[in-house]
Amino acid sequence: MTERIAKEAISATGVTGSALTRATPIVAALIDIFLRYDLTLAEINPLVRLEDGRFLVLDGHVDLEGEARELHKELLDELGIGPDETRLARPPTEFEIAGARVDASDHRGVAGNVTEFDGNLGLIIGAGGGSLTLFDAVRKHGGRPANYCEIGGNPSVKKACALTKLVLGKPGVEKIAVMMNVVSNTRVDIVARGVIKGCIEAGRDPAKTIAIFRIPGSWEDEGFKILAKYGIEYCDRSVSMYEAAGRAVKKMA
Amino acid sequence: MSILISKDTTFIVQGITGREAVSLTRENLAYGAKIVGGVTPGRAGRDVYGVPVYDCVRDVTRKTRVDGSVVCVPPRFTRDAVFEAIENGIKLIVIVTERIPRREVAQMVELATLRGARIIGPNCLGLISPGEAKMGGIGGPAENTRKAYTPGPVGIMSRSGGMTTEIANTLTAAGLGQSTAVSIGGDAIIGTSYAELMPLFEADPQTQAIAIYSEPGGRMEAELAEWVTEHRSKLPIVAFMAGRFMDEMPGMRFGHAGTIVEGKADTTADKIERMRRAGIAVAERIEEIPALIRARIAKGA
Repeated sequence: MTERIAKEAISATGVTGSALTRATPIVAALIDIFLRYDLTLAEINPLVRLEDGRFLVLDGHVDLEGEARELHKELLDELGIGPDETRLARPPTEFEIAGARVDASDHRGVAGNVTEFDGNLGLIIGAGGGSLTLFDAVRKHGGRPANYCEIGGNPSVKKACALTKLVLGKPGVEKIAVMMNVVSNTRVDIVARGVIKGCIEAGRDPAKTIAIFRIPGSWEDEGFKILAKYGIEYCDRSVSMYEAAGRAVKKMA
Repeated sequence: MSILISKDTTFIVQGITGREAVSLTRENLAYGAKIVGGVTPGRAGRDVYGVPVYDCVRDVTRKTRVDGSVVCVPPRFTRDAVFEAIENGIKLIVIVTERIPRREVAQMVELATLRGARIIGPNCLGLISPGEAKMGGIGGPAENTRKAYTPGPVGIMSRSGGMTTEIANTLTAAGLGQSTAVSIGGDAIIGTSYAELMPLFEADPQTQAIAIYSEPGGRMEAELAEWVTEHRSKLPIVAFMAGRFMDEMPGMRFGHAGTIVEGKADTTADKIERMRRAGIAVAERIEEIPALIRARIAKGA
């Protein structure tokens, strides 16, 4: 089937004659490789034509889909590509590698996808879409985030604690903001316990270190009780994500 | 009315004995869902909160009408589970599982199209018609779900499960209820896009406006803009675009599997421009959505 698809594609560019019949198996092989190895990109560039009409592949580039790495473990081993090598724009920093280690420390929930920035406000934010929204909000208020991250899926106290310690350990981080969208599966009280424990273990006063805690949703009453006990500023769903980010940024002045 | 699900929708949960599926089943039942069975191979004869467990999908479909399935099985078994649901005639399949290779997703979507079935997800929290029923983890426990979601005129489509609830909560606080909210999933390939849900919302007499949550990456917002222009759609749409900081960070992935800026069309700036040109309002903040929706409903009336 791929031979036909290749032929039709090449023919659509106006190529005919022996060039068409000779290029077809090359493009067909490219399609086969694309499908067989779960690629998101398969490129031959340049493809050259010799005087005698033969084609020669001079260079190529492929991108393997992250989700499919498990399926092609053997091949990756054979090529010497380790789990730290991603197709992202730049290699991960030490801080980001440490973040990935925190996330992998147990299977409960997510406390990862940590990306390093150079500001002074540490962010413990989530989930996927909430983090994007909150990061934008902090910047819009003129805040300077020290990091991006995503928590969600009900991470354990241990994991939330370790992530908090990691962010607080980053040079220049003065305070952290703990914020999420209204949560469904993540328990507010567990995240509250985790970040408070993280502050204490890092030798910081939770009330002074946590600029704002805005996670409404499941088990919020229990969570808010714990936060109140430690004198931490928190807010419920009546305060928007944007407003909560603004309160945190204000405390950095 | 609503779209896709109502209180009469019957569905099964595939992978029902897994930890997440068990709590999802409890939460869905407590919200009024009609769950007629669960499937986990080798666990036939057990029950989960009174829902009988079977080895195969056909063990349920032979006995009773099954409108939908929530697929909650590990990534490497998902394709098979979805194929099983489709081949047994189930027409609405919600895939909760994340980290499925996109080639397999493409195969599932292909088979669904051939058999006239609809896939929502993968990597989604499902859907809810407030006051009627929900399928999936959307909104969490029933009492939390009732706090955030109320019946009303606004349809929601969102690439983020959590933000679906955040937007519903904001609408509810402003006195605007929802017809149906759909967490469409955050992967690069999904079963049903914004544009594919639009005809359903247009045909629904309850829905008077749409709120969408979007992100960088992919062509879904452009397709929605094209659809609206092509069909001269009168249904007011208000969009919120997150991840604006990503425009300056090409090649970095944030948020969801499909959220990466690789070319100009992936940027929030480009998407916002396309949507605005099609008459879609783009809110700067979530809390602006209710007023924008109210104004647009009033203008249309």
